[in-house]
Amino acid sequence: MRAQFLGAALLSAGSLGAGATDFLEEQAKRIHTARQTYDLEAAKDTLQALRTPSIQASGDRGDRVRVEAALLVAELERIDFEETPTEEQSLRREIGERIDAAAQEGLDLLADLGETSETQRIRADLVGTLIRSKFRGQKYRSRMESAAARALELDRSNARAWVSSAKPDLLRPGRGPKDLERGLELVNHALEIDSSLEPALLLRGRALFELGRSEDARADWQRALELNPSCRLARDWLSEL
Amino acid sequence: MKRRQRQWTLLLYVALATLSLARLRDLETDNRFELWISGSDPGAAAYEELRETFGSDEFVLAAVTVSPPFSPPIFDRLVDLVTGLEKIRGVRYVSSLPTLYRDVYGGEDLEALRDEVESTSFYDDFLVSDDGDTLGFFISTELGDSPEARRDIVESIRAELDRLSLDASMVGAPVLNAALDSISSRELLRSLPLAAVLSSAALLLFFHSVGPVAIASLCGGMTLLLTLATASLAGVPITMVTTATPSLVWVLALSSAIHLLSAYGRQQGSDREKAARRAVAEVARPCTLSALTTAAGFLSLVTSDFAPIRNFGALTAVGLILSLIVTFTLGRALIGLGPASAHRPRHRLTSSFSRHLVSASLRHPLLSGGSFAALILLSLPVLPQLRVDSNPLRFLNSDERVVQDYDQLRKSLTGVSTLEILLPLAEPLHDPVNWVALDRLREELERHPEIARVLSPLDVLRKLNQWDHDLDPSHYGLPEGAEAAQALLDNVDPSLEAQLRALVSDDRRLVRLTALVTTMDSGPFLDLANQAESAAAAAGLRDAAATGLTLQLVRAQSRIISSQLKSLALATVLILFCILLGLRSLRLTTLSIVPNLLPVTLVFAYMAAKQIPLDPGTVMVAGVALGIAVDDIVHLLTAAQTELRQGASAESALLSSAETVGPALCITTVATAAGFAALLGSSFVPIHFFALLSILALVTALLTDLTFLPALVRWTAPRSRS
Repeated sequence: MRAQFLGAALLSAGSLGAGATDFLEEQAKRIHTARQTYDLEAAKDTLQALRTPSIQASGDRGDRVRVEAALLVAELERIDFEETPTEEQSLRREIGERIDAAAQEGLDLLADLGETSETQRIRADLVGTLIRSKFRGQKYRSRMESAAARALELDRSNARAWVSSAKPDLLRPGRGPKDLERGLELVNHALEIDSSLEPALLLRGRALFELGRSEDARADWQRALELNPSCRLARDWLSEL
Repeated sequence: MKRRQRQWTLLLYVALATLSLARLRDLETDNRFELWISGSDPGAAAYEELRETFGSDEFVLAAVTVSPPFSPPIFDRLVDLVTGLEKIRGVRYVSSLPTLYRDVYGGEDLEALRDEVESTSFYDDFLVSDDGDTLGFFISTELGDSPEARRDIVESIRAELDRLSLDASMVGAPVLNAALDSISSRELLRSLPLAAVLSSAALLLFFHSVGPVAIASLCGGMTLLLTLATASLAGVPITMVTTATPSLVWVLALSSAIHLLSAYGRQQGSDREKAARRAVAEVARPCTLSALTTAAGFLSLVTSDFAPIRNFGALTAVGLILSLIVTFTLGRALIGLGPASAHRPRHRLTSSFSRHLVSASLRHPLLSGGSFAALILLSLPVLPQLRVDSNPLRFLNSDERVVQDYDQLRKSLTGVSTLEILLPLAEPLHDPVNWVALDRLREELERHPEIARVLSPLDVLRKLNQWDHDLDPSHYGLPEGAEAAQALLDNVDPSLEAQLRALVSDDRRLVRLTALVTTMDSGPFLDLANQAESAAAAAGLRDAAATGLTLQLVRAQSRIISSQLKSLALATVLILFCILLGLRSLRLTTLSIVPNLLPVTLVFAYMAAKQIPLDPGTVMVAGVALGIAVDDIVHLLTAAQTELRQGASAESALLSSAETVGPALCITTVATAAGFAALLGSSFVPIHFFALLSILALVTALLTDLTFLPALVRWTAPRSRS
């Protein structure tokens, strides 16, 4: 359950604008659908399709869609990673390598895109997928925090950036009640801006659950399920309550 | 003995044998080192404080050699090993690089772990060898009170290593304890049948008849069963020392039976019952006396500081008393079943041997006395070379797996035992005022060639500081000040928490430096402990106390010589008292002790010359040798006393005694030596030497009694007559 929580919390892909061309629009839609349905294979196909030279040559718009696809692949792979038992180390390592590859692809593309709140937010989320151990936490935490902080600096109304800034507190291994309370505050900011933001609802529900407030957690997850009937994590967690 | 009486006696012994056999199941093996340590030992308070503050200081250190070590598939296997080890009941935590790989690196980024390992000295000579091919697994254990718990934990660890087919060595007190337990049980099953076969063969050689051999064996077997049942009832465990008891009780029990059988064989006439009565009357006093003196020799060991030696002495003494009872009840019941002639030993050789020696001694008293004095004088100069050794590893043969593991681990990774230094601090550890002194002490200790590594709480603090700075190796150092240090200690990473808690008390005012030491030899270890305390004082750390299980063990065993002298003094007093009671003659009592100076002196001289150390096995020899050796004198003097009372001269009394009891003395010496010979193949080196020295003492005692005693009696006889 905790593993899924981590994955879902990271599953927070953004809303880069749809491309002008039909192809890019089609791929953007596929990304949206894959995100709604947690369909990793569809996300990987989309990312592969966006790697063609013609798309690579199409400039920022193509790159933005591809970054979105890379983030989705990294986050869905991350859910798989967390759901793989720790005894299956070799498999986890393979998944980890795929996450790293997708995240790195996204981060490389982001380097050439102009700085906006949303690109910084995506940067924070991409770095977040890299953090899978204490060692990586030490290595990447400040990079993630500064990207999330910069995203908010650029646009304090970016609800997803508030979610990204809450993740270090809510997802850190060995987190305590203080971390959870601080993270909750940040997620509440996100929900004040967009009360139907699915990742924020999932994340807050999980934090509330860990604080022992099961009924409040249920309400958040039910709301997430209403907004996205395919939300697998919300359904799983509700069934475990 | 009437027929009905005999039947009842036999029935009683069948019942006793059945009950005793049932008790044997409860006999347990226990070689825990705690048994060697007493609460009144010097340093016991510091050791108690160590255990109370930091928990058990017992650990198992496993070294696994893998190539290439830093490869993901190998680390996956090693993580599997750590997970398996952690599930074993009694394992508190496992410190190792694979643990770190799993808990901190999430099973990924092995190269980063390698960089981390190579960038600082934190893991060197402890969790990784110099060449990087051997990885250490420090398994902290909470062992509980029972020996089974300890064996279970070691067996479970070994099973985990075997499950993964890893090339591993294991060391640590629990491992050594488990090995000693296993070898003790093995020794018991090996040496006892061998002793039985060898001594029975010796008896058969002398009696040329199965009947007396069967009677002697039945008496020996019954005594043994009753002794072991007594041990079980009294809760006395089998240890590496008491593993010799069954063989010993067996052969010593034969002695009384041999004298009874020989006496029965000497009787004339066809009335078996009368012959048996006469035989009992003839040997009851000397047998009782010799059993008591031998028992006294063993009983003297109860003054020892070591419980296993005390148990050995008490148990064997009980066995000797039981042997007396069994011989004069069961043996008495059995001898009447066959004609006296069937029990007559073929004593022509032994009889003429005894007679010739006694006769030569009487003819050449000066030569005899001179030889005796010369041997004593020649032995004296080598005696100061006697040395004490308390290294438990040396108790085992070098081909034992545990010994090879210790050698392998010492060569490939680190120290195999620990010296703990307890350091009370005036200010809590996070105060920098402590740091210079603690580092100075650590550096001073690490300069010692016998110390592979010192684990210090400051190293953990350094590592915490590095991790707090994004694992940057350049930050592997002490934090900026007390506040930073306190913050690091307050928020210690769980993967280092166990290690920190093992070195720092909750209030942070008592810390422990653990030195991984490559030797377990008592001398160097005691030197190290003294140097550590001096170095702590020189560094300004007051009230430092060196402690730890190995040190307590070494300290306890360093008192082995005083223990030996105590036991020898008591043995002498007890034996003299028994002889005085038995012979009711102060002169004969005094005479009886003088010839025994030679076997005892020769045993010690042989030990010194052959560099056989005084250890828990050999320390027992003097008292025991005295007890056994005096038996021959008791039998000789009792027989001679009877002759003297009948008006014979001293010379003819001695010659006649040599003829009558000489054969029995030779038989008992050979049969007892044969029994001891069964212990020569013991896997326990101290028991091997104990057997060897006992045989030496027995043979020397017999020869001295037949050559020197007559000369001594002759010299003193005129005065007694006057």
